[in-house]
Order: sequence, then structure tokens, then C-alpha cells
Amino acid sequence: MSYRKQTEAAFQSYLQDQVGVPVYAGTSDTIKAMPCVVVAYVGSSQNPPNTGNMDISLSVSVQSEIDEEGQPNALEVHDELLSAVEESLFWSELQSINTGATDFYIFGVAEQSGIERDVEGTILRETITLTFPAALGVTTT
Amino acid sequence: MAKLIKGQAFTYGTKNDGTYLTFDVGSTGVNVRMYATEIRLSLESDNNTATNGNGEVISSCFYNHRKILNITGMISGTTDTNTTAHADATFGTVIQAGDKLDISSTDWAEIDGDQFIVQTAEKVRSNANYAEWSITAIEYIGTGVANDNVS
Repeated sequence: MSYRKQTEAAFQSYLQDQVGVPVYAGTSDTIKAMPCVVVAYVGSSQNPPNTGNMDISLSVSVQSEIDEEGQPNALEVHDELLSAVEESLFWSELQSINTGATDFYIFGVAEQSGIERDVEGTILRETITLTFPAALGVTTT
Repeated sequence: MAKLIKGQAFTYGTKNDGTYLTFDVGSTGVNVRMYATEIRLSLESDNNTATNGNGEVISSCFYNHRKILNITGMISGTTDTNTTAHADATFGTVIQAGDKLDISSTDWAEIDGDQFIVQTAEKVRSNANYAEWSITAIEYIGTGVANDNVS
């Protein structure tokens, strides 16, 4: 399985346990139910060379439909969801991903940026981008 | 007429197969795995010169020939075990100045299997980076100095 699929699968599984809404991997053929979280592999580079370890960039987006005629308090729900996701991505919490994802190991978070906000019609999307070193097939003990 | 474009053959990287090299430091019998980022070998000696009445050097004598090895890289456990816990434990291996350093790196005969003596060792853990060892070691290669003389 590729780094992209493993990374997205690991974060999808991890965040699914942290938030009470659907979490989708970046490439999905299902219609998203709002609000939701989308994890998408942005790219990676091998570091150090020839080790198979990768420095990975991953975006985590919280997406909600903010519509006066839609769900009431949608913005409030969105903000709470965003807080839950942000807290879940702090290293003190995130490191538990290593016990859940046996074929995916993250060493730490090198950089966390965001939150970037963009609006498309009635869809509000806020995105956090993580950069972290990771490896597949690494065991802990 | 088409021109054939050719490249050049070079020695590349710290190891031809791109993997780790191994070494035993302190004669523990444990082969540490290191992904070297740099291996630097210097050949040194001391020398004395004799000059004539005009101050010109007419004779030079070189002695105390030695190899100085600087090696830097990340420690990935040992050849027996390669887990994150074992990498952490191996990183904490005690290194003393004066310890014997026996490297296996078949691509480079000058350092492979030779018996270096650790002069200085530095271990670095820094945020958002893999931890590294840097070791400077020396081997005297003058006449009469053999591996068996190193202990």
C-alpha cells in the first residue's frame, strides 16, 4: 500500500475516533455528508535519502454547510468540530496514532500551519496542514 | 548524425546500496546500524624538514601517519533488532574516548574492518530532526602498527 493510502487511512481512522462526524480520505467516491472532516495527502519527500522514511504533508479540513435555511447553529457546530480536530492534532494526543496504525509510524510533528479558511458557495472549509516524518513497516518494540 | 550523450560514472552517496553501515564501538560485539549522512576520511602525518644555508628545504621526513575518520549519521538500532524502542536504546549506548571503533563498509576498503580509536563523540537530538551521532576516530597506520595492536 502506498504512503498516500496508508497515511490517509491512519489519520482517517484516528480522527474518526476523536470526532462525531464522518471523516473522509482525500480521494473518495462517496458524497460527503456535512459537517465532515477530510484528510488529504498533499505530498512527500524522502528523508533521509534511501531510508524509505518520508516527510509528509497532510491537510486536514473541516467542512460544513452554512446555510440559513439548513441546519440551525451550523456555524457553532462547525467551530466546535474545528476545535476538536485541532486538539486531536496536537502531538500529546496525536502520538496515539502509532498504536492504532500498525503499518504507519509517525515520529513527531515537524510543522503545523493554518487554520486557512475558504468559502465555496455555502460550504465553509477550514484547513490545518501538518508536516511530519513518518515510516511504514516500523515496529515500536 | 545523432550525437550519443553519455554521462560519467561517479562514486555516489555514503554507501553504494544506499543502506546502513554497521560498526562495533567499544568492542561490545553489537553491530550498530547507522545511516550515515557523511563519512569523511582524512590522511595526516607529522613532518620535519631540513634546510640548507639558503633556507631551502632539501629534505622532508613524514612520520606518525594516521587516518582521521569523521562519521555522522542516524542510528537505527542494531543488526539484531530494529524497532523504535531499540533505536532509542542503541542511541544511548555509552561511547568513551579511547573506545575501539570497527566499521564494516564494504564499498570503501580504507575504512572497512580497520580498527579506529574514538577521539571524540557527539550525540545530538534536536527538534523536528532525527537524532544523530558524530564520531571522530583515529587510526595510526605507520609501519609496525597493526590491528592487533589496538585494544
